[in-house]
Amino acid sequence: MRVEQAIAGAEMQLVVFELGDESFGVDISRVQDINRMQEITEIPHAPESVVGVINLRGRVIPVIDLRKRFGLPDAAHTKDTRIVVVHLEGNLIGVIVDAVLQVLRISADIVEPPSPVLAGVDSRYLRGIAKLDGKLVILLDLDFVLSRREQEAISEVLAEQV
Amino acid sequence: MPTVLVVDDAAFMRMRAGKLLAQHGYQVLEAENGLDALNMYMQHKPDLVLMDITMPVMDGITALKEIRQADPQAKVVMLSAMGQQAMVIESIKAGARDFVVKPYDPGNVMASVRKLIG
Amino acid sequence: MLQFPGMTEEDIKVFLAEADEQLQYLEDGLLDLEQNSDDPEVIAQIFRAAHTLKGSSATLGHDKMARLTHSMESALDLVRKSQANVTPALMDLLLECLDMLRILNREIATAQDSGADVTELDERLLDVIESVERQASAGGVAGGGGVPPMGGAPDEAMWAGQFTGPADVRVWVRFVRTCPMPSVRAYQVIDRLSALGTLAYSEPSVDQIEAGDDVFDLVAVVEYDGDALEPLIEMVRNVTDVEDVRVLQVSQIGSARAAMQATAAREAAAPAELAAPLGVAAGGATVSAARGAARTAAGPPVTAASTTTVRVDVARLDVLSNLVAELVIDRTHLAQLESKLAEKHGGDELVSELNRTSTHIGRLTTELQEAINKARMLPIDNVFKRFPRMVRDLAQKQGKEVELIIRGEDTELDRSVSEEIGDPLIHLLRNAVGHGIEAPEERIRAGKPARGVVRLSAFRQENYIVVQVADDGRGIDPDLIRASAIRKGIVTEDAAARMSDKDAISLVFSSGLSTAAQADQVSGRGVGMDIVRRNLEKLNGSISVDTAIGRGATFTVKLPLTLAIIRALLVSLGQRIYAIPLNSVEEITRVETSDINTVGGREAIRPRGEVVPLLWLGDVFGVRGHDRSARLSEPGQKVFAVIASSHEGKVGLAVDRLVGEMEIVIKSLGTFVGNIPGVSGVTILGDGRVALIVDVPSLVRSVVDERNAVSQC
Repeated sequence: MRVEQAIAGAEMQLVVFELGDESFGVDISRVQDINRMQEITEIPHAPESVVGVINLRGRVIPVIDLRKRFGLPDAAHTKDTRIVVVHLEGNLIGVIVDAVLQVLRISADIVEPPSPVLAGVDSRYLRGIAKLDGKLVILLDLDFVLSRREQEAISEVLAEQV
Repeated sequence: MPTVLVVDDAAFMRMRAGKLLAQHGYQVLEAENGLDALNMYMQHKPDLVLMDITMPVMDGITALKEIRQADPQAKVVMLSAMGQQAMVIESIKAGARDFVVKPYDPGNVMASVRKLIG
Repeated sequence: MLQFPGMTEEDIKVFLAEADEQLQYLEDGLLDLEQNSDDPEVIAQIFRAAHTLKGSSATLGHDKMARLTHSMESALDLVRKSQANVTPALMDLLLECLDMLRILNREIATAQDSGADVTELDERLLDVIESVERQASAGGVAGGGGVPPMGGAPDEAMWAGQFTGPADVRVWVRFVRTCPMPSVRAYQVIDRLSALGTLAYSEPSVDQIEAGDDVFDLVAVVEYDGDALEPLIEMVRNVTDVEDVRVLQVSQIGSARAAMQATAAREAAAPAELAAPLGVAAGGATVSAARGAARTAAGPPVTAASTTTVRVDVARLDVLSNLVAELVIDRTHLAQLESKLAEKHGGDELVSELNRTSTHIGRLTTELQEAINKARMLPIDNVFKRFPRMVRDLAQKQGKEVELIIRGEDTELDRSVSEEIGDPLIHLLRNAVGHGIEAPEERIRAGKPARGVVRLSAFRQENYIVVQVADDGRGIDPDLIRASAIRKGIVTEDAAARMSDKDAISLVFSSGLSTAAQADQVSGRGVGMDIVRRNLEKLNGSISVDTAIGRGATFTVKLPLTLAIIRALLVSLGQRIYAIPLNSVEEITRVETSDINTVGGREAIRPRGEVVPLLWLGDVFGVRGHDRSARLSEPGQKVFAVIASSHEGKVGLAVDRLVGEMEIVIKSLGTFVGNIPGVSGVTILGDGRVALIVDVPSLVRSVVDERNAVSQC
């Protein structure tokens, strides 16, 4: 549905970041700002991919590890590691990524629907794939990626029952 | 008697500076390019160098760097022309103690020299 | 009386003479500009005049002038770079600024604050700058396919790093007007300052200097490693073509810092948010307050002359409260830094000066906080006024005669508290009418008037608001409670028998117990006293009951006056800091591991002979290396136990270290993270770190529940 909207909109601006070997894009309007890695206060008993909270200029915002969310192996933080702060249903959420690459303006025409299996990332998290100069940028569906707390909680319960 | 090495490819400029320094009781050495200056410096260890920037064979900034590498205590004052800001900044980064812009006021040159070697 | 610390009479004279000159340049330039709006020389002249005034006034310490000229310079810079056009509106604005600068200059000349406020002009300039920047960013992005890699916000980092430590020294350098290559001279100064300390900030920036912009005035802030300022001044003065050097230490730039940070903050936040509420907090409607209200609030415009009050949007009050809350955090941090400094350099004159300034800031912050808190206050009548009708209807429905007497309805409380206090009071009133007050015939049999009385009263007690709901009904019978609790499996028969009457009565607040045989419509099905208590404790409040059989019951609700700021004890587990609300802390003891016994299958300590269950905070929060087994594995290990209590009892919280006491601002973890057991919220510490706030009531409850579960087995 969003892909269709994007096509109608003709152009989109993406913040492109790196996670593992893949490049991911999110709509720039969803991005509040991009921060260097900073001290994260852990929250005990929080959902697994919630690493903790940070102080973003006086606001306390939760930070999630996208690697954990996607089931990718953990990686040490480097000087390139960034916390991308995005809007989600009126909240601000920090998302840890390996690096922020660039801001891209792309034509919606080059966005294709996601293929079912890609880099081990659940295809439901994706809203499309943009092909640029032989490089693939995966467009993330932030609402889906970030708002699956209930689903995660359910799968945790299921895992415990096993 | 303190020694000052004047480096400039223009003989007229060397002469003017030389006269001025001699008047104030300094011993003056002259070099006409950066390479020449480097050799003179190593040989005579002057107390101060007045160094032009734009010169043939070896430019002033390269010479400054070479001299500072050989002697980290070397005191070098750059002689610059108008419009050479970027190069003067580069020379300050490379350890030049001061600079004088041409055409210079004799008083300014002497003030700068005295500040560094009394 | 205006004062400029560190400035001699002569300094001020020189400043004034030069300022007059610059203001004249500015005026000539502006009038010229109106005729030849594209003459770069004219624009450059105006820009330089604003720039010079900015540097001088900032050094002098006149914040309003520094703030206004800073914004003027930024706006003019856009004109200079042809990013903004000289419109009639901009001309008007700049001329208004000029008039204001003359007023400010007179302030300095007469050493009297004129009361003039630059906020409004400053905002309009910022609006101009913002709109240009918005266009520029929109246009700029459209120009190319890609933008260079991003790495945080450089401006933010610059501001954040600008005034980092107490050793900050602000250096202002003026170069000889005729000097060639002033930018290189400026670079030389920067170079030397960098050798003496860390350059935190400069105006113009090092990049601008390297780009060759003409610099006749340089302001630099250095984190200075040395003690004495003379060597620093000497090194700078030694640079050729330096005409004047002035150096100010941090205590003297405190006010300039506030102005600069205010500018930075306003650039980050929405500028319109500030004007109106500030006017209200100051106790009157200033012109700018009325203007702000007229511009942004709904409804007809208000004129300054006719208003003594301004209606303020609640959201804006919240913005203001949050800003003050941040200020409270900074104040606390400042006090910490100051005491560290005092420890290090005891009798130093600068330390005592810092102390005076920080004390003053502390006082101002407190006053500001109080003023804003007052602006947030509402009389509790807002909550009470719906109760007479409600009580009457309840009484009628149950065939009872009840008189409601209300006292203290003009007691003021924070808006946030007044939102929270309504529901518990409704519940208490329903209970009073439903269970407390007897039917008329029963009352007559007991020798009481047929008509029962419920008294609802509010009053302030220190930093708390206390609301009591008292009825003259049948009271609470401890034996009925015991029986009910046993029947519902809340306590064993044995435990119930051992319980004092007072403890038994307290059981009305535990889960699953209702004094009525059946939950009925009147007492509010599904919402028991346990929920009431839980909700109040979440707000750092409490509830208690006082009763006598046949004479009635009085429920007392106590809540902090404001829900946003509380005092807390900070404790640590290794590097992690936790905050425990001070109102729940009973005492702190140091216990040897040998003092820890096991009572009823759980560890406990006995401060003052009383058995208090011990919880290891490291275990509660799963902090490896600081949990029970880690702490106990070190022989001879001493442990701090914070004895904390809630209505249900006490618990000892074992922690590594005590950090101190602090005023903290409570923040929610937000809906994304949701409720976390044992955590009631988070707060930001003075050093910017986030600390968890320990939810004492829930920890006590977990111990009580466990004990009850065990005793039932």
